[in-house]
Amino acid sequence: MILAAGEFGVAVHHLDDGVVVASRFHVDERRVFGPDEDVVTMIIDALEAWHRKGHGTSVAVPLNDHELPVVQASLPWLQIGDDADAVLHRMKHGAAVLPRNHDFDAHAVSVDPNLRIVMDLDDHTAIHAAWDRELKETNVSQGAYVSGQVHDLGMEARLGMRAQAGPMWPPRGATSDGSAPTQGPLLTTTARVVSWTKLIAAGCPSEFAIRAPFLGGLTSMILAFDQGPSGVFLHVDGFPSQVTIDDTMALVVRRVYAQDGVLRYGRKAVSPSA
Amino acid sequence: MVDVAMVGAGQTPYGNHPGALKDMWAEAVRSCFSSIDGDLAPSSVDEVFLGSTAFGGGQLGNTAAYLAEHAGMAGVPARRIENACASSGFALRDGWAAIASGRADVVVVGGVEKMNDLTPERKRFWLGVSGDTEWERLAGLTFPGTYALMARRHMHEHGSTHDDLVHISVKNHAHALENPHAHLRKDVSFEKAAGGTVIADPLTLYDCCPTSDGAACVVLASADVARRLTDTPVWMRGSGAAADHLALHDRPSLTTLAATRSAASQAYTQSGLSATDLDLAEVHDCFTVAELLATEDLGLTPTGHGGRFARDGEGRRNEGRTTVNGSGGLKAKGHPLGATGAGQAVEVFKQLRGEAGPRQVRDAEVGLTHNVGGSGATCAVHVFGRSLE
Repeated sequence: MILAAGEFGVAVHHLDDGVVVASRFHVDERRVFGPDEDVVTMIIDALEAWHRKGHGTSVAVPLNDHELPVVQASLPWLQIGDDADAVLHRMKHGAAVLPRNHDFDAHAVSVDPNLRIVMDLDDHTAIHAAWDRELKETNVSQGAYVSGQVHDLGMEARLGMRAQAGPMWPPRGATSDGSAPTQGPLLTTTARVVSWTKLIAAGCPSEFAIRAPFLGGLTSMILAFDQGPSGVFLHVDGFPSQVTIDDTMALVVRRVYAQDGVLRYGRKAVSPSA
Repeated sequence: MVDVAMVGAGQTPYGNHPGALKDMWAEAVRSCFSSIDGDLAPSSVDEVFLGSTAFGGGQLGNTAAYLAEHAGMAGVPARRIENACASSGFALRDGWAAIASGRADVVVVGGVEKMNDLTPERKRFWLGVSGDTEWERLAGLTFPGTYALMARRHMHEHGSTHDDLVHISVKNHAHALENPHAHLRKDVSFEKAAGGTVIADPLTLYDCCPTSDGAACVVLASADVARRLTDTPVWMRGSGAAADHLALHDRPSLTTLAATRSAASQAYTQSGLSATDLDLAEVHDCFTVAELLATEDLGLTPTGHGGRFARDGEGRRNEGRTTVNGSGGLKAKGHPLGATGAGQAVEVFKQLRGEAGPRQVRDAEVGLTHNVGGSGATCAVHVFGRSLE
């Protein structure tokens, strides 16, 4: 099976009753994770691609304790059921959501050479070594500290794009009339570029200080949702990041940074056709 | 309401100051009290209002009591006011309010920041803590990034160009050449500024202010006390303050600072003056685009015309319509965060008393200070005059 389409930052092959996704990044002929991808992001990419095609909401998804809260926060529509008709399959640097009886050979999946983003081995090694450094509990970021509790409280909005009534996003503690905000809609996972900038590595927040030099800086942008709110988002790492005002961008879940030995994920922007 | 005047003003040089926080503050206080024509001792003031972000941590709690003690004001009620880069602009407003309300007769208002004794990592941390940490910062934004987003959007909506920003940089560096307290006293050519290293596209190194140490101090007095202390008080004609969403993405517009517009409107209304009356304006140009936006938001030029205002040299000292940042501004005079608002008032004090030496604005009668916190979440605007009429 050759994945020949780029969609929301991954290589995709849609079947009548399922979907297979894989990383577009390769070192020589070997498929690898991109600079901010991992198993969790691939699982979410596969489930979102499957959901976008209207296949349903119920999937058998075997997840460990680290993966479960991130996947659940990212996909508020997902119903995890052991006996669901659709099953999530893990594969090397990719994932698939297919009917339970589908005869799926993960080893037969490859990405069309025209779709591959080829990374230099040294760059790939350096970025993943940087993640390892950043993940160590001994790595104390000099960044503006967002505690684990504060971070976790924001996950539903950050990953699931859950707004408060209004709609209001990111979440607030009270409305202008002093009452408690009520739950609002899920924001779309596409939005329009209002403005953007690319920061050099030395100008990036210190949370990103270890990896930014290997990424050549960071691109950040303000996106406006059709439902009203706007937000600021990083561009997905490793893809060409030149954007234009009024471009439509897709929001996908990627690694953002690590703090206190814990990976933190967020939505990042990428061209829907990337 | 009691009329309020500045009767003294002083500051340290801005830059890499050899002294500690308390040394800088004491130096600014000594400079300020020595500028008062009559006799007044620091120990005799009623209250102290001190702006500081407490950059680097250091004496983060009870900063004002600590610093008051080191400047001859032990026992005087003191408090630290923190509104990021607008800290001492708000201290100025609180000091003004204390006298205007009749609660105090003489107060010290100032600001201080020590920013160059930290490791680069700790410095980067403190430079970022005044933004929206949970959403903006974790999406990669620092203040150069937020102002770059504003600049690109202004270019998109109004056709301004990076060359317009270069004109602001060149002007403010030229102004700072005549300011002995300025951090960056160097002539910067258009070509050099235009070719600066990109920091946050489209902003370059020459669009960004330096990281400065510094302290500034003014003494405010009620009209009766002011007239006893000096024949040339500088009157505070209007005070305005406002706040806005902390994060840029929550604001309806990226090309105007609503807090500036609101604070300016209050200050103009209270003073009975308007932008056309201003001889000089010390505006918050932490980045060149911030000055461009300020010229529009303060009414010095219509919305969308900030680029042309800069290009046509309308802010050049004694050449344009209104001298904008005749001191060199944050861009070249320097930006010791918590001291910046008070430092702007020091410049206006000298200009309106005709004591600014080679950088004197001719026939200066009315001046304005504009002090912004972060990317525009807070703003204080004050209008000053040589007379109350």
